[in-house]
Amino acid sequence: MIAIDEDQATPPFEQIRAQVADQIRAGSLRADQRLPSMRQLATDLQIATGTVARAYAALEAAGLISTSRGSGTRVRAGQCIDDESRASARLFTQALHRRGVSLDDALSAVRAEWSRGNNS
Amino acid sequence: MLFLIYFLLLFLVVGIVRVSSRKRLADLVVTVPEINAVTARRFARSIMLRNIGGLAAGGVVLWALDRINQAQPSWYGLPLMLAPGVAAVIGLLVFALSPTRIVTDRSRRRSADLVPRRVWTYGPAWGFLLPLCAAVAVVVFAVIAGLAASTPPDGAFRSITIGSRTAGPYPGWYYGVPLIGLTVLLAAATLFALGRIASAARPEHFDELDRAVRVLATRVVMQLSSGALFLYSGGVLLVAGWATRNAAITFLPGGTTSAVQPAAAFGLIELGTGLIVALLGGVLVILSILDATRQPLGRVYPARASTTSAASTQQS
Repeated sequence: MIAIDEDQATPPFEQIRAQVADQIRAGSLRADQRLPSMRQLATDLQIATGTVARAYAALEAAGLISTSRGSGTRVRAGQCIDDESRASARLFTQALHRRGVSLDDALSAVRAEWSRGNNS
Repeated sequence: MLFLIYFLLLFLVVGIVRVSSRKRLADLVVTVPEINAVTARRFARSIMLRNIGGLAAGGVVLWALDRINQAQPSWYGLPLMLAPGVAAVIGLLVFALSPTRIVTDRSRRRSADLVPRRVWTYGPAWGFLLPLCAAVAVVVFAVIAGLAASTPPDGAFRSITIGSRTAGPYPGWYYGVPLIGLTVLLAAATLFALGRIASAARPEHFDELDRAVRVLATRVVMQLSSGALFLYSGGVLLVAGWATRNAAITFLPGGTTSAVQPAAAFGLIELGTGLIVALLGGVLVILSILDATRQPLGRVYPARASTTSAASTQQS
């Protein structure tokens, strides 16, 4: 399930791209799983088909999905983050949830620690 | 008398099928919270109107083709033979092209499922494969009958000759070519209707109702198209069996008969199969009418009466 929110500053195509990418990396969408057609997604979300096409194109460029005429759009194999990393992320999220930290602040903290880790 | 037995058997089989599928059909009745009742009722009413519109259009075509058949005796019953199939095609097109969207205020936040909806998503695999195999069998039979047919003096392939005896009407090329065309058309109309059911927009707050409506619509489409296919192919088998029997049996002086085998036995098999297939066709058409007039919306409960139930019908 994905959702778009028109009140968010992020454009709809980016909201779709980010949510599908997250679900592929988290393993919610399995390798070779077929995604809905652009038309179906656009109809359900009440947006233009071109918006979904743009999100799918970005996902394909990132190597997360592949599209072919015969088999439609499918999740590419080997895109899921490993179990250990996901378990670490879960522990981190649970800890921040308990402390009442927002998602944006949690992501900022991750980014800051990430760049510090790269620099050291 | 034969028609009376046919209708008695028809309603008996329909009754048995309905009783045995009572529980499954009960699962297709959805409850909605009171807060959404008006919109849900409007949606259910539009579904009902679409279904009745499709059936009514089919009924009108059936009546019109019967009138044409009576007005054109020189067409040798061709309009009557095609009537169930043409009526089903028109009914399916009306069904597929009628709008049924839930009209609600466009919410700022909208969601979608990442599971693709396909034409076969809302029914069991055998429900699509059996009619497909039956359609292929009808085309194969039409080709075989066409090859076995002979021409009466007017040159149309609508008789069968066994030994020195010729009998008709027989479903040779005269009936077979329109029959093949109609079967292809019916398959295309069915696929189109199923495609429309699958591709219709998913309503934001009516997950269960939406699923029930799609399952019921798929049942209506498959029962109507299969029923029509079985009705006209059953009729064709009956006509073929009757003609084959008549051509294979010679009445001898003294009331005895001489039968050319295996043609006479084959004619009898065609007659028996035709009766069963026509009965099955009638059963499926009645089941499709019953499903088309079925109300998917059940009881309405107060919004705060049961949060569990509300959670199951109302999408987060």
